[in-house]
Amino acid sequence: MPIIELKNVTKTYKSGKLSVNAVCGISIKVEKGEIIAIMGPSGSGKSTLMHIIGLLDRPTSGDLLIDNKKINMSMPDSKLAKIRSEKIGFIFQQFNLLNKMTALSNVVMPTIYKKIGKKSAQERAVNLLSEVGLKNRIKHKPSELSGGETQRVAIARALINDPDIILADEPTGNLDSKSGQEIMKVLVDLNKKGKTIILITHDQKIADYAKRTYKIMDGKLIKEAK
Amino acid sequence: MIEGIKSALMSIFGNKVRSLLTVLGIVIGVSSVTILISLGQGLKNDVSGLVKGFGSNLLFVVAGKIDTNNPQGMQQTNPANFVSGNVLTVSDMDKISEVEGVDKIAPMSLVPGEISYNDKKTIPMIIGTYPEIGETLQIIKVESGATFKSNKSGNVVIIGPKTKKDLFENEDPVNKIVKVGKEDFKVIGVFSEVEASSVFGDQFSTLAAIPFDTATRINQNKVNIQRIMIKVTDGYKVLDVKESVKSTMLKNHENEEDFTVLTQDDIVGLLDDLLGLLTTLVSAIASISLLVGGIGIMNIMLVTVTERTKEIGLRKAVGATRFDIALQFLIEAVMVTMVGGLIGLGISFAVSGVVASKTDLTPAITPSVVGLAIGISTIIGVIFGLWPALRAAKKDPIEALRYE
Repeated sequence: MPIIELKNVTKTYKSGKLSVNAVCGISIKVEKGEIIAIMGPSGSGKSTLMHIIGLLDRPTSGDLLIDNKKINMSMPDSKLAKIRSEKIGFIFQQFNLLNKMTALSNVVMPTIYKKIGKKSAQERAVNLLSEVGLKNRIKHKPSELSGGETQRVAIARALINDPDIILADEPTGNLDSKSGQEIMKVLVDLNKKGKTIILITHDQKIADYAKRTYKIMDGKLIKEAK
Repeated sequence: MIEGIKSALMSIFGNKVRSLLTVLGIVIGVSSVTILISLGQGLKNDVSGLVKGFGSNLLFVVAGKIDTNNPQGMQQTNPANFVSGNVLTVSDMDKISEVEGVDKIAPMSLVPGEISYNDKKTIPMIIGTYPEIGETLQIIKVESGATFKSNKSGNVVIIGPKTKKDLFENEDPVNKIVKVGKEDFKVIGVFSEVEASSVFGDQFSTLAAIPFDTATRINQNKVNIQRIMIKVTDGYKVLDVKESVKSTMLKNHENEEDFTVLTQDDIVGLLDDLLGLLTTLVSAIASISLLVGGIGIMNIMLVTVTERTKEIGLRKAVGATRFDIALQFLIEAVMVTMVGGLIGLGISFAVSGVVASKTDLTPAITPSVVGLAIGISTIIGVIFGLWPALRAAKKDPIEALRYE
């Protein structure tokens, strides 16, 4: 059963009289527990696609199904936010941690919006930080962590609400190759534990970690490679 | 909510200088309002305490018409009337004496001049009055010596405790001869000490009383009565006697109401009106400061929202709704203004402490003043934080995440 299915999804940006097709009729199926890559050069539309899958953006046309359920794209933001917090964890190239908060507070942060008890959220966050090898770093602020460590905190944050899907946008883009490899190892391990992982990247070496790769160019799917 | 408060405090203390400058307007506004109200309250407590000391069965007749039922009564009164000495007459006093329920009566007729003894001088408030002064104006009592026998007792004087101290130090002044203006007077008594008041200062302690007829002679035979003080007979209702005195006065003044009969409550009420007016005025000025402060808050909150665009994007990505974001920034604005309000309140407490220690006035910071300060600052935070909060909530998460 596919956990994510895109059917003929199109996204058109309009600016004045000019309209740009960022995504043109893309159909993708991702099975539960898969690790796949969406690959393409910058401007290819892969980020737009990720935003649509991540429910941060609404397609102009076409359907998105999560857990075989069609997402009603006219539903209010608050409903989309709820699905997002339950089903999807984000990992960004820029890490996007809040600099004034400790690693622990950063990991706990998404639970505020899911109304999880503070105590259980903290326990869970400590466990997740231990799992990514940062047990001794929980009180550190992002400025006191290395790039690789920062991205691990971000991974722990993505996992705090126990989502089925992890969307990783260039997760190693700001890291040296060694830290990058370590992060990819963490993601592959997560996949082995059953998480569905979608890697968005322009880097073939990262895409190689995936079982399948969708190549995108100018908003169109040009190739599906095993 | 608690997370919101925590994050707000973090953001406030993370930018201490900026936060402090931002709340300055609120601090000034809140402290000026609370200081004024507490001073006013202190003044009111003080004066009503003093006025109550006059005795509740006391009536005052003053020149000029004051509408005590109308809060603007004071404004419609020509202030010159209060000190005018040619409205109230001896005939008025004679008629009032005959009114049922009037026990004692004493006028107050100011005599300019100084009192000297040997080479020492002092300028007290000298009044010509009746022997019954101590029984009417119950706040002053003849402590040693005696009051004069009648209005025709000649050049005798009862001096206040301050005058005694200034001229005689530890000597007993009774039976000593002092000069009032250029004439010799015999001191026959000393009034008891009256606690200094913020409004009247130690005026009551400097009060010196001479017989009414002597005062009239010194004033070149011009009858010059500023006040008539009436003590109501026990068992009579003060308000009933007030009405009788008023109608007697009206008859005597050919129905021209150029005087006012005041009870103790009327005097306190008039003070209330005056303070109310003053409070409104200063509140209006303070509200300008609060408005400017509020705009400052709005400005800084807009800057904060822009600075934290990426954070907003992230929070939305991990599940925050528009409402969550709006609430977060609104709480932050309210926390900033509340901190301002609390600082303002702290300043008020400090100023009140200084005022209380340096003057006779004790400002009263009541719980309602504290509530008002917190209330005002919260409302300012909500009003001026709302727009920035809504702007934050409306941010597109994708744009926000891309923001550098």
